[in-house]
Amino acid sequence: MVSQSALGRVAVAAQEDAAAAAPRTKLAVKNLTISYGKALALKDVSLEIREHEIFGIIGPANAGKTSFLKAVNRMDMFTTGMRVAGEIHFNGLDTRHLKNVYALRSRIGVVFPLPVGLPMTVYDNVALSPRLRGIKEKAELDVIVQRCLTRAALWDEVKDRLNALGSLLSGGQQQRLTIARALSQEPDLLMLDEFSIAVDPVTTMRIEDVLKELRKEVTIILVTNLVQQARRLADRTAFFLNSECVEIGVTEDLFTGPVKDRRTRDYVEGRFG
Amino acid sequence: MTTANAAMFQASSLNHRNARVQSLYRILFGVMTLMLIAPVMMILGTLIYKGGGVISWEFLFTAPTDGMRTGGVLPALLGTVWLVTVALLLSVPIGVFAAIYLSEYAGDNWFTRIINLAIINLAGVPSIVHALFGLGAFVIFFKFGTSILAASLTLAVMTMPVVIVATRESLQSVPPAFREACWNMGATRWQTIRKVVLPNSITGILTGVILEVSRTAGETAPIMFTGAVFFTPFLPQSVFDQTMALSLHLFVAATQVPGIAEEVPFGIALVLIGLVLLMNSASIAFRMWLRGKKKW
Amino acid sequence: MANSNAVPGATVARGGAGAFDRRDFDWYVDKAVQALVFLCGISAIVFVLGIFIFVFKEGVGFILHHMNVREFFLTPYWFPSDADAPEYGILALMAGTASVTGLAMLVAVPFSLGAAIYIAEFASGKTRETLKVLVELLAAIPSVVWGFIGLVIMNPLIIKWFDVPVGLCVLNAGIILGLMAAPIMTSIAEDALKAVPDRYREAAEAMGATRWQVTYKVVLPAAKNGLLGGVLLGVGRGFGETMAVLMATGHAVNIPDSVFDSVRALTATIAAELGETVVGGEHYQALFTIGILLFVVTFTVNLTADLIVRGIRKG
Repeated sequence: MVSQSALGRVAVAAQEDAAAAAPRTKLAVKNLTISYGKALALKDVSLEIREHEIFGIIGPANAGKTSFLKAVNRMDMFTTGMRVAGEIHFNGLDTRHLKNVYALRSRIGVVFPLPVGLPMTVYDNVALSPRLRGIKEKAELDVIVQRCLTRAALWDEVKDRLNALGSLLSGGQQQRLTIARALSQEPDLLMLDEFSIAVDPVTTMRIEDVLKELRKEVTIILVTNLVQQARRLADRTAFFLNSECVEIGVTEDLFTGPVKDRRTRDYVEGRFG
Repeated sequence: MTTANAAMFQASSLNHRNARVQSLYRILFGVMTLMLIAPVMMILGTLIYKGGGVISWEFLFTAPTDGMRTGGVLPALLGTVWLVTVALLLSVPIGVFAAIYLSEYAGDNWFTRIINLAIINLAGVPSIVHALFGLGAFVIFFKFGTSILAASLTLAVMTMPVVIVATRESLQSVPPAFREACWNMGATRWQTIRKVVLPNSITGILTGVILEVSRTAGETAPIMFTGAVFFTPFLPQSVFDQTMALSLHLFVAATQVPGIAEEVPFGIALVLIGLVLLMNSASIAFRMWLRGKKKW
Repeated sequence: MANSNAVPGATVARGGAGAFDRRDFDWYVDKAVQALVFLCGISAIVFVLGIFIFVFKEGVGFILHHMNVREFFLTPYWFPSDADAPEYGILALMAGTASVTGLAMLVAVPFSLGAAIYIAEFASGKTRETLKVLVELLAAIPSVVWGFIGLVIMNPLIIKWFDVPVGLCVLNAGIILGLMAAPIMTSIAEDALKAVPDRYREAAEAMGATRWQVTYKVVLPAAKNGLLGGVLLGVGRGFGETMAVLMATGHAVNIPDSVFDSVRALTATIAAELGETVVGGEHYQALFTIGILLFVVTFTVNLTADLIVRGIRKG
């Protein structure tokens, strides 16, 4: 018994040495398979996402991108019929066997494509997550709310009506409010799912600039249907097609370098999808 | 079919006949609706005509006199307030939590179906069987005696489905996307319910509670043997006292008091029906006001 | 699990990045609320079981020691207070309940279906809203008030119009009960009609059908089960009604020959006699036995209604 636990400690130490040398792994996914009843949403995907990178995921509709995000965030718990097999390690922790999944979710910010402004004031929308973390000071909350709304390119539009209902903002504003809420979690990992769908091009560019800055602090997974957006932002990109991960590589390689699968090049050059 | 197609754009005799049949049925069903409503309106009119004269502050706020043959309804009115209040204190928390379970936690499975069936049955069991249950369980087994507590417990069990159904509907009218947005941020189920679901359904829940007040106030059979009495000169001091109640008072005045002034039972009926309809209208008005207020 | 056990030492070294996986106060609150809410959720089951157990407990003595099944169900003699030889035959009481409920359904079913069709398919806008509110208010009138109406308004009217000596009879109680049950049946039937998707109506109207043709050929068949369920619930309501039938039937043990005969209902018998009985006595237990019967019948009716209504949703 004693020797075994000692061995374990040696093994952990060895891992840490290795981790210190290479860029740290934020999210490690092994043989991830997701299904809804008989329908397969994602088949046997393995990939690693490194700390402080923007990781793009591209692919046509129904490729399994959103299901992937849901599995990482453990939202399968609230989705009837969703079954997840395989392993997902976040910060080295097996997310399939957690003591407190809520704590995991509070570390991961997600923005899904449909904007959701909660039916409370704009201020309360953004202050909700900090309050759940136990922050009560008005001054501290004010700072967080302003910072998050500014980063989400919404502050100028709503600073005079922070008491308006978040659910009655326009679609584009709600989308940015959702992003501000995700930022207010001060997440370790930020996942954006086609965030630009409800936002005009100018605002999209502003948010993209914010994302480039944010990578110093957080790791970002950017799911997008805009191939050029992935090219502009992502360090590495995965191409999902028909529930499979067809290709993972440095983003620029998908466009100009060698690719493993012809379909990748066809997709990024707009020949289907 | 082919002839019908050919004649489609002409005002054929078939079309004329259809239009006649159509308006005939419209009138028929309209008349049936009226015949449901009109007699009741006439009856209510009669009640107001015969009992309206007796209603006064004095009638509401004095005790019966001369062996209940004359005088007011104060002890019965107060008794009903006691019974309804205690019943609501017991049934609203349980009912609201039960609805939260059904709306926010329960899956779509056989167990949930059994709970739903139990709720339907609780609402469907005859009121006199509830009375027998109240007598056997609360008066005799739990030794509360015939008291406000026993009667209110019986009423609470009986009218709980009203709260459950109204609350559940109200909770389910909050779109699921709000819950998901909250869960995504790491809120627990309860935090989500407290911060997002309840604040946006509380008015709907209140509507159900008001409706329950109206139902509870009108019940007679369940309280007959559990806590309400024909007559008592004392006003209730605690939940262990017996009390008069408006509904039972009407029954007693109408059937058990020889020589009662004719307008007195009409007056009692009017007070009871006024109380019930007032609560009901409030609930309906509240609901309509809610519908006008858009929050998403 | 083994993995998460091995990690703690390492996570400290990594600056606490993985140290979030702790059960905090909010986690425990969430679990506690879940347990509380579940307990309240099953309370309805507990109460229904409780009703059965307590009513059965008080009535079982009669079933075991005094009841002669044939005499109980098949003789019309109900003389529970006869000191020497009390008789417990509920045939006449069942006949009373059945005749009043039956007549009430004859009154209520066609009219409430007609009203539901009018409200759901013909009326629109303000008219519909007003009618719905009226129906809801009618459903709220307490049963004791209905009984009072039967006693003091219907009674003299029946005596006058039909030239009979007593106006407290099957007809009186049947009409009262029908008027009582109709609003409930109307709202359930209207719900069932509204549950039929509008695209069915639009498809039929696009082919040139009139409103009535659409209703008759498309909406009514589609809503059939919901309507039947509503009618059954109405039957259950009428069957279990107490105060109104106590006051409007005339309360005479009698198998009726005509609608002008006075009768007595099962529910009313309990309400009228329970107060005079000795707790635990034979008469007392006999009344609880009637309660068991009422419980079993309404339970069956509600269960059937539920199965019928849900049957269509699965299919």
